[in-house]
Amino acid sequence: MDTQSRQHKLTRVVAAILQDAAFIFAEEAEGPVPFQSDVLVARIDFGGPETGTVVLAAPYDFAVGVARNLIDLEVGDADAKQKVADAFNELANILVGAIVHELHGDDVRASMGLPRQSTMAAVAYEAELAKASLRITLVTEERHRIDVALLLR
Amino acid sequence: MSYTILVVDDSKIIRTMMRKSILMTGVDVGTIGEAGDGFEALSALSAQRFDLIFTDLHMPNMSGEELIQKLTDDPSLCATPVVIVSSEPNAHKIKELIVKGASAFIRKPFTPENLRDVMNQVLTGAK
Repeated sequence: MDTQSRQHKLTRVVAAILQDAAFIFAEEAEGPVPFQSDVLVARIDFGGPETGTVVLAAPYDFAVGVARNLIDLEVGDADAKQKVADAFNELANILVGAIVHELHGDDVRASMGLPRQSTMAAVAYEAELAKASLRITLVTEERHRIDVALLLR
Repeated sequence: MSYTILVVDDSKIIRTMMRKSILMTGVDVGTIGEAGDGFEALSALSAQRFDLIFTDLHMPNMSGEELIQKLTDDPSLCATPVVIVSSEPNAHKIKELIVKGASAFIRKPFTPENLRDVMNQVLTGAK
């Protein structure tokens, strides 16, 4: 499968998962959409026909929206920060399963690791993701940028 | 009579989503118990009878796969239907777990409709 087909598949599956799992509508970015602040990054390693890491990156406000949609996060919630982090990790987890399944089909024998989360300065994030084998950028209705990338080893 | 359901997932977020979704299915559900891994699930099952178990696969301490094995090996629990709810991409592994004793598989993300269909299928005749 060529890179363009894989990119197309990745875009389709990520948009579908965002809609089905988090009720977020997003479409492929038509041009550069720079991150305006630090970037929340979740990484999950996977193994199988390919080995590498899937990276999900978005602004913190996007993760807050995910938590609101998934678990009715309320303003002033005592555990808000933890819930936002957990919701973002869960979204990453669901995405990785769906991406591996989409790229390699039903017969895939694959393994998945647990999510690792960090916050990165936009410049450092862009430098790391320049090494990605496959990368897509979507934009939500609220103009939040969401990146999903595959770093293959 | 209401059904009792046990939700096993290490993510509190998923347990909360499952609880909300189960309540939206329209199925007559009473108690919804929660467990964060296989050990907690076995502990809950020793204290109370559940009509159906929803379990994730990838969990610390005791995975869903180990939990299914323990339930299958226990004569007092082997009749309780277990539904796997996971983002597991490996269809072979799912098939093996169905052969081992799991009743059904739901791929994440799930919807209340997915849960309702499986609950209706699995719980019919289970009581």
